Amino acid sequence: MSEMIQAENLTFRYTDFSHTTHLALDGVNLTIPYGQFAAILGRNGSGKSTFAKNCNAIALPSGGRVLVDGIDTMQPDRIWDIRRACSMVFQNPDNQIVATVVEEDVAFGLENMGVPPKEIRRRVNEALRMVGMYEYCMHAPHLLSGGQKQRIAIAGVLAMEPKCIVLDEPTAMLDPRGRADVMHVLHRLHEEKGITIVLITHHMDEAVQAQRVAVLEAGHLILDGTPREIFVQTAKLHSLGLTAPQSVQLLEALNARAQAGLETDALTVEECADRLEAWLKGGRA
Amino acid sequence: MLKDITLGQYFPGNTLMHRIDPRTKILLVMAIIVALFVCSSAPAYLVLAVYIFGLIAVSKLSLRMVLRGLKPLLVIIVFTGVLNLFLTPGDDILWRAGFVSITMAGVQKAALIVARLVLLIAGASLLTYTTSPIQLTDGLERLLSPLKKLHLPIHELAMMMSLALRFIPTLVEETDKIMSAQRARGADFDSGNLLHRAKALIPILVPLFVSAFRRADELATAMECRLYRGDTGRTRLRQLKFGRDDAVCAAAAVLFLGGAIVLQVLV
Repeated sequence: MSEMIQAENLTFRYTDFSHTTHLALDGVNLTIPYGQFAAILGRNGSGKSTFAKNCNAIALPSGGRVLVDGIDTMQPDRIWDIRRACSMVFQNPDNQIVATVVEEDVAFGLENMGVPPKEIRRRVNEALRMVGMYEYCMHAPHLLSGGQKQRIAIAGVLAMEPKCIVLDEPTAMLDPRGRADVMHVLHRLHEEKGITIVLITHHMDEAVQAQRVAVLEAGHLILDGTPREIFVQTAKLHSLGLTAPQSVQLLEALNARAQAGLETDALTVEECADRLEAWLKGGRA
Repeated sequence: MLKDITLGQYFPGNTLMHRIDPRTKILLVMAIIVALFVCSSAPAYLVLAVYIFGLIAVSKLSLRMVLRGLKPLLVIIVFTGVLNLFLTPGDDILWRAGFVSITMAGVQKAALIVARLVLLIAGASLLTYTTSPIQLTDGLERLLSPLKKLHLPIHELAMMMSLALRFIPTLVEETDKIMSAQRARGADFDSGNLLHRAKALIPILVPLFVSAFRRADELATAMECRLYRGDTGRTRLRQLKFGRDDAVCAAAAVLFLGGAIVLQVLV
């Protein structure tokens, strides 16, 4: 059986204005199965955005290959099938909204696919309900907040009923409220629709919510595992320019200073609170 | 200061004029313009004026708003009116002072020109006030679609128009931001002579252009990701359909515009 996204020895080279060749991706092997919620982490210039672009043939590999839904992205005649299977949401919501009315924008992809008008209407309404923006269907996008715009952009790709959505730092330009809303929508799509989510991010708290975390550094895949496996490696993360969740840092600090002997793999505030409570109670007893 | 720019001047509503097909409205306004140029007699103009202001009343547009649309063209209206008033030769001289004189023919011609310009602008604003930009581009695309057979890029032009409309508020906001950033570093846009001010705009335009190109590039990628490949095999969410409202409007147009032209020819 094929996988949703299968990168085999993926290499991507590009030449900048001064004719220097850079290696953005260098032999990356990464397979994302159907239905997974994967986060890809890495600092600026680690190649994570380039990886995203290789997932739906916006960028084509210089070496190795990428299979999307079982289709090799190097086949020019299958490019529309690839993009239909795997949609993409970008960082800046302003630069991906094409229409002056919300519902027209959500309909844009479906119009391009040649879906009959009645079916477009049905899918647009459903997609807008999914992202919680139905009541804004007649609004002008430029009057919405960043988080709302990004949810419109997600509705726009969702309406096309893709198997996978790749999001390239979708929350980087949003306020905390907008970020939380977008993350909520992504979890909903993953759980209710079974859509594969590939979230490119540099927010640890977002990566923690994923089923799997892959860390890129200088074009190489450095770490790959569940958030619990990845985020306890604080020293390693630090050397990659990333920070572990604050809960892990707190427990480590307690272990170091008070020899608390705590398990440090608490990824959320709640888990951390439970550990601390157990420790404090145990300490008193 | 840039916040005041309004484009398209669309006023949402749900009147007959708002509901009818944009194609009907475009054709209607074209017919009105033709009628205004064909007619020149007072009775014909009376009929046209009643018709146009009737439509404005039906659209529930305030007369003040429509007249405000005349403001930018006031100079031209007054200028052509005055020129015609004083410089039309004729035998029936009403008033004379030195080499200038007002003739009866001059009065008539000036009145006609002023009435023609006012009604032209009122008629055209009827279209822009009651039609959203997106409907307007849609209507234009459909009306011009026969030209696609001649390989004219009608769909592409309509797409460009609607994208331009979409990005006007974004770019206005960005210009505001850049101006504030430059002001914070001591730029001065409001003093000095014209040349000085024009020069002060360069540090605004350069970053604005750079960012506009970057935006265009990202937008193009995003559009490709959403399977945009031009006009081929494209359907639309909003179907344009001629309905009963359109028939009513067309009938009224034939009655009034036809009536005006008949009056012009017969009287």
